[in-house]
Amino acid sequence: MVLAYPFLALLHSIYSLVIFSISFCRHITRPTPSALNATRGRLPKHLSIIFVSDADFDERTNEYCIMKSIFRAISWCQQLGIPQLSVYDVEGIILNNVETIREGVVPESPFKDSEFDRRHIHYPPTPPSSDYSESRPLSPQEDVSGGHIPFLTLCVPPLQSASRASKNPQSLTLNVLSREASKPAIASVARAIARTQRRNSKFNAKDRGFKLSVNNLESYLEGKNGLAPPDFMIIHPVHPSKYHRSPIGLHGYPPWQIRLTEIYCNRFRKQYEARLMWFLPSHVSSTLLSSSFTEWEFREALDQFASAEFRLGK
Amino acid sequence: MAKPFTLVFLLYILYPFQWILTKLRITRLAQRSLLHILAAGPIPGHVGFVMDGNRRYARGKGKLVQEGHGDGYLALRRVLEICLRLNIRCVSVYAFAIDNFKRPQEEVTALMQLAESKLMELCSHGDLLQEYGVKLNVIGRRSLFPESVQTAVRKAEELTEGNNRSILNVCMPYSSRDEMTTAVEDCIREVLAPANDFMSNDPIEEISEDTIDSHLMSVKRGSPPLDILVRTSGVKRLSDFMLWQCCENTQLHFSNTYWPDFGLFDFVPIILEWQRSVWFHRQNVWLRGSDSRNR
Repeated sequence: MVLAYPFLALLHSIYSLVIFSISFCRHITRPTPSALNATRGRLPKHLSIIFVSDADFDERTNEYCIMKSIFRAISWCQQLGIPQLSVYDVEGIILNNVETIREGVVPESPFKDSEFDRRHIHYPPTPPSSDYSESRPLSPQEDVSGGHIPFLTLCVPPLQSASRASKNPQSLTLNVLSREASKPAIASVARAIARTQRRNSKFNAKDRGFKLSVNNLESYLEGKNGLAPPDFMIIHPVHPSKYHRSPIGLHGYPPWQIRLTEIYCNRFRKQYEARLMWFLPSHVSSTLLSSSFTEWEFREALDQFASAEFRLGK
Repeated sequence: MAKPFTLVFLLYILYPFQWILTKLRITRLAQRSLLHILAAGPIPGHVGFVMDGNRRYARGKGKLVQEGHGDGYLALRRVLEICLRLNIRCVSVYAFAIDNFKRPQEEVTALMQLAESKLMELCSHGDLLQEYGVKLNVIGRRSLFPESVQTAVRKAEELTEGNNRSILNVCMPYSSRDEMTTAVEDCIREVLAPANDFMSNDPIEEISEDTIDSHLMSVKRGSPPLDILVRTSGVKRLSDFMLWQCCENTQLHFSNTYWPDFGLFDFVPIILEWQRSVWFHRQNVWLRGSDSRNR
């Protein structure tokens, strides 16, 4: 086994050369994506963006890049008429800065109508109330353990230019997610269902055992008080990978909702500049190499979504 | 536009190299040496494959869809042997989705027959699973299968029950949402069992994400956390495969190759990238540890 190490190092060196050649060729021949407002066969109705920050780098830089990316994404979604946008990061950076987002997307005038400036706080979805009169429906506070809020929803008013041009300007629903909306939310729903079942079984001696269907659980997690599944997901690493291409990972995004979600990740972001990471101090490379989500990447992502084929098992 | 350059690389470098090796009859030796070298570095504990592209592969070659699935089975054997030689302890494959019952009846029948015959072949004495000490788990809602397939599944699992070196999860007919729902259902049934009516901590409050994780079909049967998920045929979706397991700490790899064509040269880059991520993460962890000690 010890003799294999030098050969393994050689193999990695050859792989590096091969990847460098292929990515260089790809870089110089990469097609320019269609314009933002170009007609595409399909646009997502619900777009989700996962922001991946690197804990080794400056927190302020991470925050700045993520916030800038979110404001850009909101603007592009509004231009294209994408009705719903979810943003997620595993560290909760976005959730900590949600006031900044709210102040940035709510204009000063003339939309002071509360219909356009609403902030919804969504608690974990509760099961429907029991049919038995002796039981009482669960209230949201009973299901929130430790005061966790699974996700926030903001209603972003339409752009002023769009509202003048269109008879029915659409507002954008912005969901701000953290890891609490992921597996912990499913566990929370499980606890709530168990409580209801325990209450019901005390009044129904003939209860033959508990059964839970996929549709039932889906109604809790994706229904009226749940999180809708995104059609399309963009994974945006704030910093490029230190070893060639950024790995694709979901970083704890809610698993139930991503069954049929198309995934895009620009794995070649700043891959050549990433070499500088090894030589520069981290605070310098953090500033130099971090970047927000660009329009070019957004257009390329939309092109990928438009060309994807869905067979749904058939 | 990058495709011509990749094609040039393949035509003038890789394929001639492969042709030379074949002519010298040392392909098998070279492949085994390559795997031995790779196995010297970090190796993932659990790799999942979404075996997609059999039908498009068949259409592209002018074959019947059933032949495409047959070639897909050969690819499964090939990739499984590669994984076992690399000492990957657990391999999961998405063989048949619950949604796949919507396909034309002729295709579904052919797939059932393929499953019935090939399961027994894999588990028979001297074949792949016995040679490498692999335990077969068929994960999914098998009650949806015809009785003959259910019998074949039972027999195949019994044949490999005593094996303990590796695990092969054949997910059929499978849906991750079905797996998660069953796990939640089992958790709830467990906490509501009469034996749990005691005065100390309410067992319902003990239901956590770890509890649900431990009740997943694949985890209950010994699967470690999923490290790598590979989807072939260029599709960039998960399509209801191991959503709970791969939403965290799993590298996703989307390969443009159709599953029947998937082989060593498609899998080696995935392992090399995994090794780099492990080395880099370990270096990062070591540096963070040394910083904290120096404070």
